Amino acid sequence: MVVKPLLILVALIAFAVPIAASLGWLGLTLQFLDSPMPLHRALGDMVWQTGTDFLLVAIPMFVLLGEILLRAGITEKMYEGIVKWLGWLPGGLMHSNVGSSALFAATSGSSVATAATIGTIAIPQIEKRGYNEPLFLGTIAAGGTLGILIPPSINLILYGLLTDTSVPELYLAGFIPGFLLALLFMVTVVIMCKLRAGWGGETVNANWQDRFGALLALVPPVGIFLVVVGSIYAGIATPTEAASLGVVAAMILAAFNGKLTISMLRLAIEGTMRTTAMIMLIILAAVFLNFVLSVTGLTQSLADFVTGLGLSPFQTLLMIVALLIFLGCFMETLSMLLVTAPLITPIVVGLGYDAVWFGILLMVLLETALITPPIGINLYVVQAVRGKGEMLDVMKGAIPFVMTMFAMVALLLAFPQIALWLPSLVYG
Amino acid sequence: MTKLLILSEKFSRVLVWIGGTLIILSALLVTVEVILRKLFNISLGGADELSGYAFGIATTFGFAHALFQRAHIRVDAAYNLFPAWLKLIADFIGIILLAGFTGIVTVMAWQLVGDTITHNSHSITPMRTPLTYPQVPWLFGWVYFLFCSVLLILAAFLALLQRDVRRAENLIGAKTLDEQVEEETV
Repeated sequence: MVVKPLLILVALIAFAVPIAASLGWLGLTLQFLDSPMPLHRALGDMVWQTGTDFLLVAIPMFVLLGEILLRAGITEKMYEGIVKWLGWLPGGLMHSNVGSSALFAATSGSSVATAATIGTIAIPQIEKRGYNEPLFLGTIAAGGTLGILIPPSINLILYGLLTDTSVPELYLAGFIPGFLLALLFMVTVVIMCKLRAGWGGETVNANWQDRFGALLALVPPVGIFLVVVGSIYAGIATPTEAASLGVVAAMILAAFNGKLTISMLRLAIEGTMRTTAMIMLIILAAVFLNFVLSVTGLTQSLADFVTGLGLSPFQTLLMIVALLIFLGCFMETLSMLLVTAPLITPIVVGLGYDAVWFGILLMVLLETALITPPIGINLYVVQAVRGKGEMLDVMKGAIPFVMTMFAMVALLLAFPQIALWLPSLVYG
Repeated sequence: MTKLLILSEKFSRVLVWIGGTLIILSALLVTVEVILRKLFNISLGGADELSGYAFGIATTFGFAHALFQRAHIRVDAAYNLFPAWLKLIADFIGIILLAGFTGIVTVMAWQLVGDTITHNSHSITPMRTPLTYPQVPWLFGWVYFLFCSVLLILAAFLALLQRDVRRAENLIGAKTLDEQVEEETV
């Protein structure tokens, strides 16, 4: 009962059938095979309800926010500002790569856009300042993954939707692990540069006057971050409302920079709509599949199957983590989230773990998926931006950061408070 | 055929601009609502409902464009190892399954909107929006998406008949990463 749907799904996905169609057809097949009721009759209503859900309006808003910041040149200035603050550390610009990725992640949420943007700005500096090329490329690939975890993350919204978990609570839980992971990346850079002489390249020493001058470039992204996240926790706005505030703030900033033109908006709109349509088609199919799975009792039998293995909760959890790491080597993150969250979360919660905590753990695993070979989309993005040399360089450079992410997973397993402490302060 | 394809692509872009404009207007509307509510304790009411409709319409208006841009995600781990002929088969199966699923959703959506019109349904909110207004353009997005998928299948099939494999690939093949990155860094 459990094996059949999994096989269908694997076959469809492996044959490169678009993810939305794979999920949708799996749902349709299962209802014809297993359900006496014509579940697909509910499809029209479900697609309308989900497609107009106010919570999901946050998706185009956050994508648009990132697009505007990107195309108004705000991200580029931010990078230069961060160099002045972090460039003196051993490893120089590599810390700016991580730092700007974290900050960019804190205003939008697209990992591909983050890696591509930071990559375009930073890669020319490798030769100029003599950095170890693989490690430098690794910082860009790894830094780009932070967008999944650091609020406001679209992935956390999707997790919240599929598992019925509070998005503000998930956002609060994501803060400490997100910034901790960024910090751990920087520690990794320092350690690697201390271990291998000559990897660190030039540091950039700015004086305090420069640094405070550079703060001006950091005001826009930090300001938007405060508007978005602040308004949620001040109780002024829901996540979607906060995202809308962010879009308006970004447009005002772009206008100040003289970049709010029709052609800029047109590009931003096309990018936003392409991403939104692509994500939404998968979500609609995933919601339908989720419905079929629970009505036909498959979610339950999968959970029973796992409990029936007779492992302790912790062993089961470890098995799930291993499975997710394995899947992450082959699957793209969004599809992985939408396929696994509705199936696995009920099992984990059934074992007595917290759904918010697991959401954060899952996000770190999804981040890992972005940079684990052979299919780690950020590796390819960085290589494509670089446009020369071997793919292997980027993979080699990403390895230390994959290790750091594993360490982060272990930390979350050992100390769930890392994620749960902040929400417990607010929600008690 | 080529002309029809170019025209459909152009029109999908127009839909995207309309959709994007709806999203920007929603952002403005919601922002005004939040500010009024916080500062003056006045609520316009319905900003969330309206932006939900705008979002729904914008989404279906974006489907066709995403299709032409080959932006619908496929997992290409195994695909990249396929020989060219198998890739082409996978491409055809992929888009036919996509069109098939879209077709089923569109029929169900059509029925839903049909019911809405016959019963003259209103939303169960204080606004009591007549649901016909948002649902008809929303349905149009689905129908157009279906139309364009079928059109692409036909065009790719025709290209194949003319032994123009490259054109077929350009129409329905998986997107290379270089193309993706180019979009993100313009």
